Amino acid sequence: MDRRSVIKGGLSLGLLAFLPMLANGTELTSNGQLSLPQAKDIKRVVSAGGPADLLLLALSPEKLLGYAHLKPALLQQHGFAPSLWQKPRLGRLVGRNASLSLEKLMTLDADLVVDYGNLSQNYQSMAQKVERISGVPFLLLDGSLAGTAAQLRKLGQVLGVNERADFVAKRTAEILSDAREFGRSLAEPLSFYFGRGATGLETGVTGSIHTEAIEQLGLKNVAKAGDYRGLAKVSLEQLMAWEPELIISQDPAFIHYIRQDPVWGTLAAVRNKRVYWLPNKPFGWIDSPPGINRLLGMSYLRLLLSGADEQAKQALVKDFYRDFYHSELSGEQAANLLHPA
Amino acid sequence: MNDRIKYPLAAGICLSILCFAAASGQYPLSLVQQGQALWHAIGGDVAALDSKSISVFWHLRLPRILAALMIGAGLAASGAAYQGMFRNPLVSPDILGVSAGAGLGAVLGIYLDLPVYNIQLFAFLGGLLVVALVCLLARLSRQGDPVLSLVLVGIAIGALCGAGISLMKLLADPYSQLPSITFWLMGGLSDITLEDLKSSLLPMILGLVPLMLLRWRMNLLSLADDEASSLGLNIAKTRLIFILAATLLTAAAVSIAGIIGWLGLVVPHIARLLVGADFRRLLPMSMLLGAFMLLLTDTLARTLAPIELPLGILTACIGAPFFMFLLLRGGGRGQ
Repeated sequence: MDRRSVIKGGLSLGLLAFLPMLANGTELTSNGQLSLPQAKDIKRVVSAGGPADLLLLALSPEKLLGYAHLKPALLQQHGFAPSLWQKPRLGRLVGRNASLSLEKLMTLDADLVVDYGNLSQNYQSMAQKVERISGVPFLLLDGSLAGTAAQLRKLGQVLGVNERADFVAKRTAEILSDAREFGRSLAEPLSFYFGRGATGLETGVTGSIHTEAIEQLGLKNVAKAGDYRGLAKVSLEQLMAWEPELIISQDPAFIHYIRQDPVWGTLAAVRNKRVYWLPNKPFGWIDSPPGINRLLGMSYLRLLLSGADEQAKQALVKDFYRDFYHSELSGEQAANLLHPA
Repeated sequence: MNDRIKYPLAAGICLSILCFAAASGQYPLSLVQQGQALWHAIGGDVAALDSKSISVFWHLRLPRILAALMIGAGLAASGAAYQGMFRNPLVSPDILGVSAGAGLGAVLGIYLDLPVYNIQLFAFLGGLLVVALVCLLARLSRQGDPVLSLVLVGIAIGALCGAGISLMKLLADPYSQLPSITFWLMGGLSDITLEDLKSSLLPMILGLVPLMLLRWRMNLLSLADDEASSLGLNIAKTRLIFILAATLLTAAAVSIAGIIGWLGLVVPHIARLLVGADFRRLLPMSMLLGAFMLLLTDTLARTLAPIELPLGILTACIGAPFFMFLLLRGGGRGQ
């Protein structure tokens, strides 16, 4: 038995041990085994990162003390309700670029810390450390896109907002099932390349969180790198060999560049005008951060690929803002999001 | 080994690396097709070759090969010059903070979401500015030895730039900008375009020409300062010219390729083991070795996996064992 299977075995044993608890559904514990407070006692919640910001914003913004990643000024510029942009930016608690200190966390008098994303041992141990030192329970939720509805319901239960969670979870399930339906409707899965960075030559490889939203639509990522599932650099020559049918990006400068560059112009996707830009303000729609914002990107990309008209696109954005972000957009605001000057 | 074997052997090795680099790549393009692309360019009639292959050859593979040769030669020449000037074998091209300054410029550009061209310009200017600042401060310093004060000020300013880079990394968006910064700092030639090559050619030539023409004076600079001036050399002026030339070379290389560590430090040593310490022979040898070593490394970086491998990691993995092999073998004439 090699080391990997030992680890796998250990993990599944661990899961088995948790099964009875999940079945009961009575007692929820935080990641580091502190038992969570009663829902009515949770009034002040701190978010640990960008994806958790969005999750809490969708479910229970009144309990969220401030943002870890989202910039209030950008929220204000892009049509979010005043109660949402009038919150401070506290900084990230764990992971890369952590800037919220544990001491600050303790002065915030928080009842709960929520993180939503990677469940790796590294993040689990960081969660445990925060909990041990600060005494604030830390809830770490699995951030995979496919499991979003379940995680919404779970957090809704913890925060005592079951009804709201149920509504958002249902909308989420709808969006995901529409995406699967779209994938099945394609005779042949379309291949795509997702360009990131100023040159567009950074990409997420197949199975990475960066391209998960696009892959859920049944599209096939041309970038593959064995078991590696992260960001990578590629060359334009490699793209010439891959010859993706679609090129997708959130970077307006990159999209502008490839539409007029003769070398990129030899790619079939550029020639056939199958280059798609998705908005990146106030945060990315497909990625950056990898949260429930990606649900909007998925729906929008589906509309783009099926040639929907402008009205349908604007309606989609307005509905999403209303249902997930508690914000009513005017027609002009929706148009500005889709076509910034 | 006598010269009658040595030169053909060296030429053979270089030619095989060149062919290996030209023939390898993700896009299927044989050497024959590349010959056809060349033939096509001088007006020959090639029916079999499609326009995409021609484009891959002229705009992607050829610029990348040329860039690897140019950047490798530039970094190695600059390393050799700095090592000679400072009479210190541990010196690398970034001793006066040019890489740190370029890094800070590029990271600032990425942080501000600027287009590629501006990021490169920021990097280039950042590198030059930092070295200018270091030279200025070193002149003002009360430390008696001018070389030592240059190095000390360079280390201090380099550390400040490093702090600046860390600060930008902290402020950057961790989901989008931070990965770009990390990739830039690891170095690589995957972004190279024909335009990059054109824009960095002028500073490269401006750096290389004075180094080549004045390379005999470097032998005098490596003497003690009073001995050199007794031979009629204006030390301060000569040193300034060398610093300017080496800085231009490094800044031009780093601005389009990111930080490729290690090459400028070790290649001059390998060259010294092969041809000795005479800078007239050492400089061309370093350039040749640097060029082909980077070409070989970059070819591996772009072909070993479907994604690009970071160049900095590969230069160390290939060069360090080779360097140790030469050291343990006892070396040639120099040292």
